[in-house]
Amino acid sequence: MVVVNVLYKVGARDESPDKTGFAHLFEHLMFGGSINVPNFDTPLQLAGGDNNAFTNNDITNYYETLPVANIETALWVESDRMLQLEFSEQSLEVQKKVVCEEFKQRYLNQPYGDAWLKLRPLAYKTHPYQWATIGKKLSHIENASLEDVKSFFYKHYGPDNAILSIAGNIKFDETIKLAQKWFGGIENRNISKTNLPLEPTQIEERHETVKADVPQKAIYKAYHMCDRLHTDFHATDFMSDILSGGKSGRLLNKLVKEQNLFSDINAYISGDLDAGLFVVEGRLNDDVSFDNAERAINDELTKLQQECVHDNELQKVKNKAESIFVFDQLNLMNKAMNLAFAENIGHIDWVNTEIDLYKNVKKEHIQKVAQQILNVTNCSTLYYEPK
Amino acid sequence: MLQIAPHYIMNQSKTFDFRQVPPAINLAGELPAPNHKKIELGSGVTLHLLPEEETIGFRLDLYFTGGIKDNRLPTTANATFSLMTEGTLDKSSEQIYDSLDFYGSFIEKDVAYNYSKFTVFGTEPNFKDIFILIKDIITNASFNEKEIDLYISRQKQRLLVDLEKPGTLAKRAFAKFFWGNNHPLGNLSEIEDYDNYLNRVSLVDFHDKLIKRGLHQIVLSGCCSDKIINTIKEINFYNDAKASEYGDILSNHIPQKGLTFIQKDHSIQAAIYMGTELINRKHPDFANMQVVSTLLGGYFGSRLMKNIREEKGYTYGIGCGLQSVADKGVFSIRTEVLNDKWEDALACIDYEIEKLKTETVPQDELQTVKNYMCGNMARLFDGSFSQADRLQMLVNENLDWDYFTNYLDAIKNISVVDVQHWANKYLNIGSFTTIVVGSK
Repeated sequence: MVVVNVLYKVGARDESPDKTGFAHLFEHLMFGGSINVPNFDTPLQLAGGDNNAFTNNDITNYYETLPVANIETALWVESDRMLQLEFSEQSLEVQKKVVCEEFKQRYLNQPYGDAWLKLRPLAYKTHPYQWATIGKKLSHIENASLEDVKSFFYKHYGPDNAILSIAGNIKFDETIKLAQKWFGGIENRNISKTNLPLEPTQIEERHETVKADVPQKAIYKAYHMCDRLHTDFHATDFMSDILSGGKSGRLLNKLVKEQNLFSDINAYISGDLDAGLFVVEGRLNDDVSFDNAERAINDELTKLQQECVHDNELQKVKNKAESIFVFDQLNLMNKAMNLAFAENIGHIDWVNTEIDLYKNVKKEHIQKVAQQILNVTNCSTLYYEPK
Repeated sequence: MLQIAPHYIMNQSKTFDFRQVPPAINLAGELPAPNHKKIELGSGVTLHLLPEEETIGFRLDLYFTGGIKDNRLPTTANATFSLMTEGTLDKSSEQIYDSLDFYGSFIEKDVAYNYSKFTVFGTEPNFKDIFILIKDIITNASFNEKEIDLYISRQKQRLLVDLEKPGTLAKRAFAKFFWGNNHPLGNLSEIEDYDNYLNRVSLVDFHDKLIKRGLHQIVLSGCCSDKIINTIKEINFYNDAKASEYGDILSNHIPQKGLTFIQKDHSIQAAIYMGTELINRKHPDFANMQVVSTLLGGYFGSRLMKNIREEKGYTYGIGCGLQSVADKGVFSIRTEVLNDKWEDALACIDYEIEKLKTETVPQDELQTVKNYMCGNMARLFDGSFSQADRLQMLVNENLDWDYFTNYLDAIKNISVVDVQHWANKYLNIGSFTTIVVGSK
């Protein structure tokens, strides 16, 4: 088997505030056919292939897995839609409806499904991370026009804004030759990178309460953290693992099992390219007040600021990271994607060496990060209250 | 280490004419023959090996006799399997998970109808510590009351959240209508069941009879070093006393056919779950019907996806599938659509099924489906962990690798006339149990 992965350096952060959800809608349109490939999926299926794509706030990523003997089919269809996408009114109309149904199914018609739609604008006031990939609202998608689609394509889709990665049982020289054949002729589109507005430092506590059809109260606390390339990134990632990695994290042991305040609680980082968020989210047990629940979370966060984590706690999250690294190497798709992600952040060598950055994290560094970011004036808190 | 090539900037070439011709396609011929070895460990326990070179990561699957079929009350099988890792005679739940995480190990649990599976991932340097811990869990799980109470309260909260989802409501209603309340697959846990039925006695009994004494297959994939294999032999995960089965539950329930609408206030989509009894995996027509099912709704280019998503835009996705479960074959179709279009969507489903029965499928469409399915088979055999997934079905249903070869042959040999024939023989829209959950 072989995996062909094409990453375009465009995501929801590149949208204009009055046309949100566009990068993701565009991802759907990329399956509508191109100049020499009227139907994108059929040739791949004939070649025994499978394909999909995803969009996040930073990138749009497309991939195909298929028998290595048919790699040219994947290169043909991928390169053709990079060369010249078919812009069809009919495809646009249908995909607008499909994306609206996706919006409902995944975000609006699920309990807590809209949490990030509320949390983002609370935490970000300037940076485009203030809207989710799916968009701010249904009307932005409904109003998209064919002109918008065309200009988006020429503004963001081109060889000079893309990364091709290939993983599988294929020789290096052969791969280069085939990549050259299919992608070599596509001209650059002089894609210019716009500077995104920086999010100003948050200086006040932010709070919002949502009343919704949910069975339990829930709390979301989001703290601004560093960007993907910052030297604090790996320590911050570990800080979330110490709180709730695996099933032995502090939050589960203390707040679920010992104090019986939450039924579920998690800490994680958003992992964005630009300055992202460190999030704690939990669902409260019946009869537990928001005040008590939040105080308990704050106690745990304060502990991280006051004392270094234990040596074996740190060793534990390091061991876990190392083992995840081993298992990542066993999956062809992960290999192809990790190559593209690493190249996208400008550190292709990190596919092999980022694990060392994790292994070198010091406990004092985690404490320093905790002191820097886990402060009330850096925090946006969202409460879900059952109607 | 991944090999990293220097950066290549593509040359700009001149002509694009070659692009108009699709590259030649090579059809998947044979499936790779898995490097599968078997070792009998005694007491009816078999160790299967699926080695992969150049990795220190391993995966160990332990298969036990206890499954959903053994539920005399809702939740017992799942609760036993969940709570098994929440404490042993001398270790607390916290200590167990702390150790697992420290060894860089992670576990997965899967409770199926006929069996249950405990999977542990780990790396070679830590295998011995991991195995000792797993053996302790299997043989000495303590099921203490505090953990049971905590489990009950968390499961109730999770179920409350699940019951807000229209898709879940439709699936549960279908299970009740199709299997009936007396069948373990229809007897689903309600909120109050957790308080009424779940108790330590039934968990301990289930664990003792069907887990502790119920281990029958072990599959090791990834790193299969001699040290690991020898330790598996020595550590004796199994107990010599053999499992005492609970025995079959007899249910003569006849599925309730026709349409049932369930009101879910404020839902902004309607969830559809419809299904009917069809042939199971042992039936010679099973592979043929898999082709029909894939053509209808089993891949992205399927007729249902084209009609209901790509032409009408009613849904984000629609799919169907034929599953072999509890000795029955169940064919089901699932989707979530625009709230006011569910009747239209059902009409489209009827239309597409009828069309398969009355019109011959175009040759190229069938070829696409066949190639897609063959490619999918190749994907399902890629890597030792994927092969361990395939082995799951084989070891639990007494099949061997020939099953897949025959299955692939059946796919390759089916004709457009056959498709119409099988559709006529097996698909009958009047036989479906159909649930719609939405807001009127």
